[in-house]
Amino acid sequence: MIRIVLIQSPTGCHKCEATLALLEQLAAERPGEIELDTFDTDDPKAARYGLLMTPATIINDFIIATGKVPRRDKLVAYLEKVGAG
Amino acid sequence: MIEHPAVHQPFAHLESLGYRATYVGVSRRGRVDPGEVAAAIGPDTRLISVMMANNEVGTVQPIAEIARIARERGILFHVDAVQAVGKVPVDVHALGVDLLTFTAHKLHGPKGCGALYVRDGVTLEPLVRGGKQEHGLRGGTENAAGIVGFGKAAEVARRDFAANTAHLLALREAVLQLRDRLPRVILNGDAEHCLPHLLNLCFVDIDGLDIQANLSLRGICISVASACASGALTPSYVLKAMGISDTAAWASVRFSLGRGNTLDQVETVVEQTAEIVEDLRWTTSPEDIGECDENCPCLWEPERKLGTDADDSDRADPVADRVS
Repeated sequence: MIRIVLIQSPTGCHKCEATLALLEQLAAERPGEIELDTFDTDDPKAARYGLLMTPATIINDFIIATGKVPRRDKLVAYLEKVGAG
Repeated sequence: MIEHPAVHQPFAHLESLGYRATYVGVSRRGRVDPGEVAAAIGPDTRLISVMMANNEVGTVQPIAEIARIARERGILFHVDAVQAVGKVPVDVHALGVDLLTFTAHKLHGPKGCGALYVRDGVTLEPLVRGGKQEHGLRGGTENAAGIVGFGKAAEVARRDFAANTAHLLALREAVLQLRDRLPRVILNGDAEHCLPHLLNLCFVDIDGLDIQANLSLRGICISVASACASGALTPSYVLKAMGISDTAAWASVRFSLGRGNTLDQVETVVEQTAEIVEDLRWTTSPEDIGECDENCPCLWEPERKLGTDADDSDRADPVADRVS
């Protein structure tokens, strides 16, 4: 199981929305392989990441992108690298 | 212009009061050209100020040469040596400076205590009136505990200078191994004229904030731009002054080493950084960071290790050096 965390702005941002849509799509394409968790920067769970920008996309506790929407092709390649089919 | 805000903001304030300030640029390695300083001097120039070593890239400036120029013209010369004292030899007489500032906390001393060297014969207006303390320049009860701590820190820094410098240089060299471990890693700064404890590396195509955030998760603290500028989400003005593009500035991070760090710790930093950068190269595209332009190091010859002897150019206009 790959754990993906998306940390978003509490006031909303278009990049956060686009990233969430992309991650939900990727999770739907890989049933049972991805656990997706999302929370805002004001959630205490966000503190340990020390982020300066949102959205932050984190895969298996590795921050792959902050302040930007990850590219789908790059995400797919990375998911394959860490074990998702 | 690569001066610390502690200097360039007071200069900006003086400009707002009607004084004229001229800002001199730096080379691609972050060095001030004494000839450019000489050329910038006008008939009404009263003061020259140059930092001895830069806090973001560690480049050490040709202070003695600039001091000679200032002395020949009868102009006061101030040096911000905050980053330099304790790290490189600083002899105010040999350098020939009029004024030199440094601080305790950069010597592992207490925070909130600084010093201004004033050459005999130089007279200054008081900063704070109302007391005879600090030769009448800064009235108010002195921070005695801080001053004592500062003195002790300076004594220890001087006593251990050779051993600390050798140790820090070995640690710095270990971090530099990242250039051999990973492709497309460039030193921002001057390999010859540099502080022993600080280096700034550009990981081409990788967002420095992502490197910083991942290292932080692993208990390792580095910074993007300077610690003083942390939280300011603009590209480093120091790197920009060195002719580096916004994109490359975003891809650059600063490693600061302390005498308490061990080689084992630094090797862990190198391992972790290499692992993080390799993974980020899976997930990041250059266009994620910004627009490339002619000043991007990604357009420069990849084999060339900028800032080293192999790099024979020292211009802030790398266009001519890029691979076509």
